[in-house]
Amino acid sequence: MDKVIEINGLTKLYKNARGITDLSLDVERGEIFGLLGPNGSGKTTTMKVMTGLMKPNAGTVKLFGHDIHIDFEKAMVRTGAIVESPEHYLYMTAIDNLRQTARYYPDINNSRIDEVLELCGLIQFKNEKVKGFSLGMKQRLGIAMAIVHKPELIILDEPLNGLDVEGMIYVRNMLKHLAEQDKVTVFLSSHLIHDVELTCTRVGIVLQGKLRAVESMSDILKSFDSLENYFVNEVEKNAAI
Amino acid sequence: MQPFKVAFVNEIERMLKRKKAVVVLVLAFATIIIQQLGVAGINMGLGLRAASSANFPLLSLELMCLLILPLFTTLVVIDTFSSEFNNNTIKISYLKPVTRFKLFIAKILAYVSFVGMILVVVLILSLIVGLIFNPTVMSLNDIIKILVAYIITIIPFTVLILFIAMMGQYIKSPVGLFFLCLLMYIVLTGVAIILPSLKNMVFIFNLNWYSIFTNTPISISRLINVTCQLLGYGAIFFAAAFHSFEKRE
Repeated sequence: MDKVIEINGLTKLYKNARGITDLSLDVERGEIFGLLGPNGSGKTTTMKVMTGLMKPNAGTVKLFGHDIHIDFEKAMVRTGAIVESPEHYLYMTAIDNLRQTARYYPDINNSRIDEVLELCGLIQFKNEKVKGFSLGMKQRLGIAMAIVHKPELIILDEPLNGLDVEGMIYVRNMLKHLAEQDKVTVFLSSHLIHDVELTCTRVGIVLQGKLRAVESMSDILKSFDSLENYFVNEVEKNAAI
Repeated sequence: MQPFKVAFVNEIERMLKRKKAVVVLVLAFATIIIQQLGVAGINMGLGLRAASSANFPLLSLELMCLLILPLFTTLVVIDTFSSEFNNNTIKISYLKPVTRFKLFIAKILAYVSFVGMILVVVLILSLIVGLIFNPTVMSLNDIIKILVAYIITIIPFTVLILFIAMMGQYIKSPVGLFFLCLLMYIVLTGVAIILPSLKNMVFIFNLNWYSIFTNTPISISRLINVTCQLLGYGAIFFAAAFHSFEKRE
């Protein structure tokens, strides 16, 4: 198996002493890896460092073997990401927002852009300015921008935020399809534990900035009734330390 | 090269989509017409020649450099560059496969191109209007002088763009930044009345540095002084702005 994400001894601390400490993790091609943890545990910080939005105090992140802070362009060219929340140019239309992204990658024509808009259920709104979009529509557009260039790695921070039930099921199935059929690697964080259970093949638990456990979903479900029980068990175990 | 080119094209597209840039171009157009009406009024009413066809483009450039272009450049750079930090849309660019250095250069170059675009529009318009309303023969020397004046005007405005880009890294509110720039300009202008030597030290008073070239004979010492001053300010603003742009999390 080839490693798509290699995180080694990653430390990023804020002035308030929160952040992440000595986080190490590998994710292999075709996996859907879920990062779970309470608010403020360091999930978004991890993703920000992974995508070059932040520089770590120590440690390295490699995407496709390229250090994100040394070889940024090569590390990111096969990656699509939403970190914290999807951002858009509100004064531009959905299709113009997608074109701004698409230009960075070769061979993305208008039919691919339409295809992605269709996939994300936004084709009928493609010429509307994003400022009139609902939260769910903005989330869908964010996902469209993350996948328009057919990335081999998708990093998604709370991808289901703002989506209706239909949208959640759709995104879940799309990610599973991409991972199974196209061997796309997905790295996501979500507080919707049931959806993580249904989507991910492996999960990591981050508590107080430290990666406490990494398990495959099948192993977790052999020992626990649900991912939620496993998560609660890990939190209690950590509290006892 | 490709990511840089894309970043540049994206910047230009976003600038034009915001409409403010288009409004600025229209206002530049309107200014030339109003200015020409003023010149025509003086010609007819007082029987004086306010500007010949060769002078009119330089007269237009003077007005542009002293008032309109600094104001509009500040507005457009704040509106696009600074507001990206305010509303966090800078994250869109930061997540694309382009290094921050290339992204920063692409942004600055896009604003420089914008100023260049306005200058081209003003040059063409003022030439046409000047020739129609003040018909005198223009020598090759006049044409070269006008072209040089318009081309080199880009340099002090690049320094201004870098200055606003630097300020935008430290002041989050676009409105606050605009008023701070305005206040600084008013205060500096006021102080310069009391201390005229300030004009030799602050770049903002040399936005019309082309006049060094158009005045004959060319003052070499002033040319060296102002050129070094602009380069110095440019280097400082570039370093400060990029340092902050690169470190931003």
